[in-house]
Amino acid sequence: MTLRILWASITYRRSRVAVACLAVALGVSLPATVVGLRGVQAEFERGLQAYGANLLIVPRSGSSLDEGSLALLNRMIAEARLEAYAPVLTLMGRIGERRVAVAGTRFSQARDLYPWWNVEGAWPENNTAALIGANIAAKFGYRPGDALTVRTPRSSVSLRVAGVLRTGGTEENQIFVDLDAAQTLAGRSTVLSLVQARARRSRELPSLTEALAGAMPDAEVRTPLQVVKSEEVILGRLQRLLLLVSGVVLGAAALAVFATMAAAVLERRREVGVMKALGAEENRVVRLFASEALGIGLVGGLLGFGFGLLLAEAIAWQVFSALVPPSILSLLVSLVVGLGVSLGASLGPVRRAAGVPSVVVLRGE
Amino acid sequence: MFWRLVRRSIQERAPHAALALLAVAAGAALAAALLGVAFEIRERMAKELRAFGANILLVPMGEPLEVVVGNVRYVAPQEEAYLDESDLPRLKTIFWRHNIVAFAPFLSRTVEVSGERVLLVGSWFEKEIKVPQGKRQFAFSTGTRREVAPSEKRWKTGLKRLFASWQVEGEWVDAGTGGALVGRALAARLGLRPGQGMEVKANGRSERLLVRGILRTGGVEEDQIFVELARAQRLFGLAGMVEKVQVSALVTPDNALTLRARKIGPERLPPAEYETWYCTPYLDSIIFQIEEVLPGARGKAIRQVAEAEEAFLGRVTLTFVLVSAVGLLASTVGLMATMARNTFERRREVGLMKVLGGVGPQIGRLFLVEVAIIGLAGGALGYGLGAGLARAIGVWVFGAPIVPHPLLLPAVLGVAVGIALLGVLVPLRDALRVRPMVTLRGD
Repeated sequence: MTLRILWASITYRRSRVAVACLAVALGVSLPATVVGLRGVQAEFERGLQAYGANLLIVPRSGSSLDEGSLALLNRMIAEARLEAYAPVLTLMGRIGERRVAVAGTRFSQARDLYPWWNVEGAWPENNTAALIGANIAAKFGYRPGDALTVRTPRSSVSLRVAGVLRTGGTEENQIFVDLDAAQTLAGRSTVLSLVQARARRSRELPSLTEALAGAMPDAEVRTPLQVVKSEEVILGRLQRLLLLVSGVVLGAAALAVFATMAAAVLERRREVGVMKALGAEENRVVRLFASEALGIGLVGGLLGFGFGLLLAEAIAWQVFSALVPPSILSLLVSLVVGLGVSLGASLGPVRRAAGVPSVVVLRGE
Repeated sequence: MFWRLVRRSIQERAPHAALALLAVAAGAALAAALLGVAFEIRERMAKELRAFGANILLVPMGEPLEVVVGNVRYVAPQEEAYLDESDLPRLKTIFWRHNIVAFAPFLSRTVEVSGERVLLVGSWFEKEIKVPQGKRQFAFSTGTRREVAPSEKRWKTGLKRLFASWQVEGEWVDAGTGGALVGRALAARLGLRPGQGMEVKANGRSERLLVRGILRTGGVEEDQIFVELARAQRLFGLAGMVEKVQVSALVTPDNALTLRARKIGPERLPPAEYETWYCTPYLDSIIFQIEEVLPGARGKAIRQVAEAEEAFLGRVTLTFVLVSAVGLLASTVGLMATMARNTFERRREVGLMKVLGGVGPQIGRLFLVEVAIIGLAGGALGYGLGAGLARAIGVWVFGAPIVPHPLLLPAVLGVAVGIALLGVLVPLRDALRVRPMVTLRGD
């Protein structure tokens, strides 16, 4: 019987129930969106890559780094703990009579680690091609395609200029060559002067540092404070901001849903009066209204979660060109707001209406 | 009579009116809080980030080719060029001088300590500079002149302000007291501790330096020695000279205008665009203005920092603006629906008024005024709430309250009233059109 009344109440007032569901859904969609966006924090962290390397490995005095120790770094990349790394060997060379700083690295890796490097021309494709720092290029008059020879007391290599490098920093005073060419110039194969690397997640830095230091007793592992602190500040602020905004949005949504549902019930006091006049018990009337509110809250909450998911994905796509995984917490928040608030908002007015003698209500006020 | 009707109508339907007010207030609070934060967030984040290093590098005009390998620094004698230390305070007289957060000069040479070759760097740790007080005139291409006089007389800058992330064990070197900061790795190698002395050989001379503190940066600075600039100048015989300056400046992100200015050169922009470019704190225009006051210097944007910040701040702002847009849209639609339903439920009242002799426009006005009052009150309440929330968010996230833009209040009030009225209009028109008999009979 209750079910039949409920069904009739919904079907007769189809458009109003639909409007109520929609209003709840709208209210819920915003907190669902914001909570769903928690996933973008990982994207933000990835976006910080441009801040540069957050791990620096240098040899201890009196020793040197060996390429053999890079196996561990490769494994860390495979395990997705490191984002990228680049081995570097720096040395002093000569072009003609003038001294130049030469840096050997692996260009495919450097490209991942230094995404802000601006190369005019092309990145080197083979180990006889070089990137020339903009200042050297200006001083020597080099352009992409030119040939040059770098000499050291031990050896010499002939190179072709692939591109001119602009960074605004000290790299503009260096010539970047393939690591093999630099090692030839140094006369020592497999030697390195430092390794720069970027951890995928900054909170893993301590454990990565420890693992690297343990595996390379001859090396010292440092984390550049400038990079680490900037990221710490950024991510911390962002986390707090999202949390607070979620709170604000949640509060506003709860208020809005409350206002909608309470107003809907308020309008139906006359109905309560009729039911009571026809012999319905107070409890039964309250139960009837409560189950209707639950239904509306459930449908509205689910619908709102759906809207929120769509909106969160749209925002993530717009900002990061990436999707965020659907969040269980967002579903939970949607249902709690939808069910809880609509139930809470309806119960008060219904109870009060049910408590008033039906004559008074039916007479109007 | 009219106002009495309005007052009675609100009083008699107090719960309804209160709920409508609540709906308006919720939407307005959301709008005020989200927009208040959205307008500020970029600037706040940018300011915090600027405490972590420089984004502009100043070098002498000829840009000497500096060959640095490990701890050895070499510049060909014919290429040596320097900036004049006494010119540097002019940095604080440029058009966008308030955007110059900090700067520090550098002068470095390879020296010998206990038989090891290390880089000794002279700089300012925390230096109070006198800002030149003369008035400067800026002439725009359109002929407009603008006079600018620096507001501060004294200003503190140096490494301590430029690199807030650096940590010193022991103490920083105070101005005039002498002594040195030694990089952590170097100190460990040489067994140096704060309070000890070390013999530094440079230029065939030898000088004793007191170790004041051990410097931790996580970078190459941990293998270097830092002393006061004046000390380094004396040691190297380069009085009053610096080889480069690092500057931290608050900047506005690049846009189509800066890209065009970079391509064709700012002087070739049309006058109006040049003025816009000059009067916006773009990284390029700040560099341009620095080069104007320091004619012997060339400014370079440190791309790594500039790009990272731009990308990051752009994303944060965009995310926040989109979230705000979603919030505003949802609360707009929700509010309109609430107001519409409210009015729809009152058709019977409208019918009754008509039977009692009310005419359409009169009844309509009554309803609209009532809604406008609710919209205004709800908007004001919501704005107050939202402004409080924005303040709280500012304090909690950035350590300083966010005060919403003053224009936000009229905007929020206007929109709240507008949306509430818009929601009422259609159902009210329908209610007024239907013959009273139909509504009074009850559907």
